[in-house]
Amino acid sequence: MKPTIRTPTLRRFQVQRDLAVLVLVVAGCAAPFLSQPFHMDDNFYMDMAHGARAHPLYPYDAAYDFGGYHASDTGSHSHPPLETYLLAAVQHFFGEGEGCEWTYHSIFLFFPVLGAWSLYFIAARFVERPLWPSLAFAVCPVVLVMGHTLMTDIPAVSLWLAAIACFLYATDAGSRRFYAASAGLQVAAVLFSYQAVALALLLGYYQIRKRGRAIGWIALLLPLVVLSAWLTMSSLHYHRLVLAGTAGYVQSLGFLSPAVIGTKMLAFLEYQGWLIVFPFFLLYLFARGLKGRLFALAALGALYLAEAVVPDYRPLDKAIFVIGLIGGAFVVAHMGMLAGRAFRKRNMESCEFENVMAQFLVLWYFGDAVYCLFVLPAGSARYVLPLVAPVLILFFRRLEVMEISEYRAERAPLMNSAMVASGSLVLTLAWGLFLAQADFEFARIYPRAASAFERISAGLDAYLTGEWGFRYYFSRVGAKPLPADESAVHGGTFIVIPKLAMPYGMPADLQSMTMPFARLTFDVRTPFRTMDVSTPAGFYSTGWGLIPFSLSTRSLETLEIRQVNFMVERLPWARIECAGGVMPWPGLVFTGDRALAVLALPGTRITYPWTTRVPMRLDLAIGLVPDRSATPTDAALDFMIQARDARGHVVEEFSRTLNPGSNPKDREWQPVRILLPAASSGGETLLFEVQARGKSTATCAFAQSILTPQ
Amino acid sequence: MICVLGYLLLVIGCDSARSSRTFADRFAVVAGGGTHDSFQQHTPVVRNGRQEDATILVAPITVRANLAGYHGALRLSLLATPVFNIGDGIQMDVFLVNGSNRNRICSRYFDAGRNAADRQWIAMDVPLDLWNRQDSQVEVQVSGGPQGDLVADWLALAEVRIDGRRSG
Repeated sequence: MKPTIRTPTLRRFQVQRDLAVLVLVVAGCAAPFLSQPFHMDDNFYMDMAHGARAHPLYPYDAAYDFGGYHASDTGSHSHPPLETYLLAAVQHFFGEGEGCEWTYHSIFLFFPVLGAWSLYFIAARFVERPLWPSLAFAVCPVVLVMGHTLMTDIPAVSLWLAAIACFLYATDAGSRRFYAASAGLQVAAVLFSYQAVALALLLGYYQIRKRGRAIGWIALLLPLVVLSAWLTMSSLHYHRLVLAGTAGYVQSLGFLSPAVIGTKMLAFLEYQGWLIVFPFFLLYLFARGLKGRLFALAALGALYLAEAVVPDYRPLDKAIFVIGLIGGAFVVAHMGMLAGRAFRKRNMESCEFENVMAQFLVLWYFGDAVYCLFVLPAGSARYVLPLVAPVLILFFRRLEVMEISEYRAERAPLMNSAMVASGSLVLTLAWGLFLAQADFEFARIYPRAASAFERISAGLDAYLTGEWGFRYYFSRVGAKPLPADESAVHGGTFIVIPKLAMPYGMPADLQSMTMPFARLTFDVRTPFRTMDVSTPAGFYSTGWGLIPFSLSTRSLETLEIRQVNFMVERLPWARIECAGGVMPWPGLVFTGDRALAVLALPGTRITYPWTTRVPMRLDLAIGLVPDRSATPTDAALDFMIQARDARGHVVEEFSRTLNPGSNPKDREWQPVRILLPAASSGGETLLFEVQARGKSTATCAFAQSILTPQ
Repeated sequence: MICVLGYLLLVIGCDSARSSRTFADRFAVVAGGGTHDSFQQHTPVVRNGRQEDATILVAPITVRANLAGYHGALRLSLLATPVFNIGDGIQMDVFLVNGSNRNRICSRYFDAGRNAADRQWIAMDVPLDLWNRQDSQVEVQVSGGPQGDLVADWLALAEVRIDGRRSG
């Protein structure tokens, strides 16, 4: 005898109690992380919100430099504008600045609550205890980690769930109010994320199968009409199909190449295996069959695949890969089996769900799977958020079926369904909190780093070559994204290059004029990594690795600070006087390491305009290029550096005579430090000179000249 | 509907994204004229915010491209720039080679370290007279600057093409 489906009657008190529990759980899980610094793409949406405040009707009008590229507007970026407007409103009313992150996160807490509540009502159509899947949604790792960001994913999936809940109840009860609510929520969802247009297909299927009222079609068409209107308006404004630009970007990432699809497929399994339910319980419930042989076979296959696909991973990372792969594969397999039963002509009410509901669940799941694999440019944990709900519904429905079977069984199992249900919730919560803490510590690196950098740069021009929270917090201390036209970057400027935060390459011409200035490393207390460069942790993107997390004790982020060599970059604009007719040139010398230098023959004077408005310290090394070094008969060399005011008076001076011919120590590099006053009137100069007291064949160098604020 | 439209746009666009062969693909290193490591094709090079799919020649190197299929009064046009802003400059000479004849048809010294005007893509236009010549080749020779400093002597060529009538 098989278990039967019994849709629960929701009693008012029970519903109020359950919803209150959900609020408490969501708030309790979020509370430790409310101060999380803006993280990952939060920065992008905050920038868009600035644009919305400047141009409310067309929020994407402002030019934007991203990843080393320049866009004259952001009309074709990957999301519609509702998130932007929401953040613009928060910025307007609550401001922006140090310590205000908790305000944003508190406001955005509305969305996970909405998602958990909505799943509660959806689950009530599928399972007898809707609180379980909705609680699991609130504590599942992917929701816990993403819940502390301002990205569109959690808002979009919450609105998606709310729209579905309203539509299911509207169709079943024929309620105009619920149809209207669903339409409103669908409009909001599609204005948060283009992906939500799939709701029209999913709910349309339900509308047909359940023979919903005609008004249901209006509710389904309204979001499409609104989105089309916005896209049309934007396309007319920007004189192009804005979605074509979005598509062009996705295409540029090779999203349909077999390698990329393979990567997305593996990541799709990994994220499901690790980030929805703690894997032990997922495997305990889904990996049964053939008396354990099925699990053993799957494990063996996953091991072989790991050796083939990720042979360079550490054993620990391979183990994470294998577990995630098996877990994800069994989820897909069970969804596939459900699909097989749901779409068979014979009635399937002998299993977990009513036929139409099972079909609905399967279409929901596989619809999102198709989107993840064939439309999105890469793998990311956040992309599987929309399919968390169907997986959890199936998981807990299976437990309910198991519970009935246990009741009828002669012998109680070692771990019964109640233990699995409560254990999965507790361990999933703990697991989610570990990962959320890891992500929290990762996010906290960048405000610290920005403060450290602010002390170093002391207001000098600075550029950054990365994204995420790195960009947000460094922008707040005055650094700007590296402009697409690198010729705008002048000598003395700092350039900060992160190792982890999506660094983008500097053009080779600019790179050739930079030299290392400082290196800052940042550690975190937790060994868990959601993103890392030394392990293949790729929670947010498969670009960093194929597993959703890893473990490491190494530094998480390293920032390399480089300075554009003032003497080299400004050489074309310097006044040159040279006796022998050979102009000084920029090159590389060996000073223990390769060093950037201006090379000159004796008899050369180089005069730079000095325009820096803050007092600076100039450190450099003077000497002779070793491979062309002097012979004992070479003459003495007089090196001189002078800072002169607008009238030509010397205000600071350094001079040194080297006798490379007679004194071997003078063939070594000589360190020089000179304090340079701030330029004020505009005619100040900086002079470098080398003269020989006789005949000399030496090539002289002013090497590794570094400017530091005094 | 939007998904389908977007998807179609993506798929249709795939063909146009494939890189097409250019005249620069005809270049090959002359025997004894440099190593293959000194010759890189289809490498992105950025100058003043403009990225080009470039052929990089690392001095000293000599490369040649045959002009089979071209005929008449033509023009070799290209963009050139030093990859780096350091070094004592790069000398580029272009020759038209026909059997044992080797005529210099263009010469240019690039000095991005000392000359701000060389810190950009420089358009070059070289006339090629291919009347009655069947097996002509264009040769590009890149060598170091006057101080003999070969550091960073990388020259990038982009949008290399032959303009004019093409026989056959």
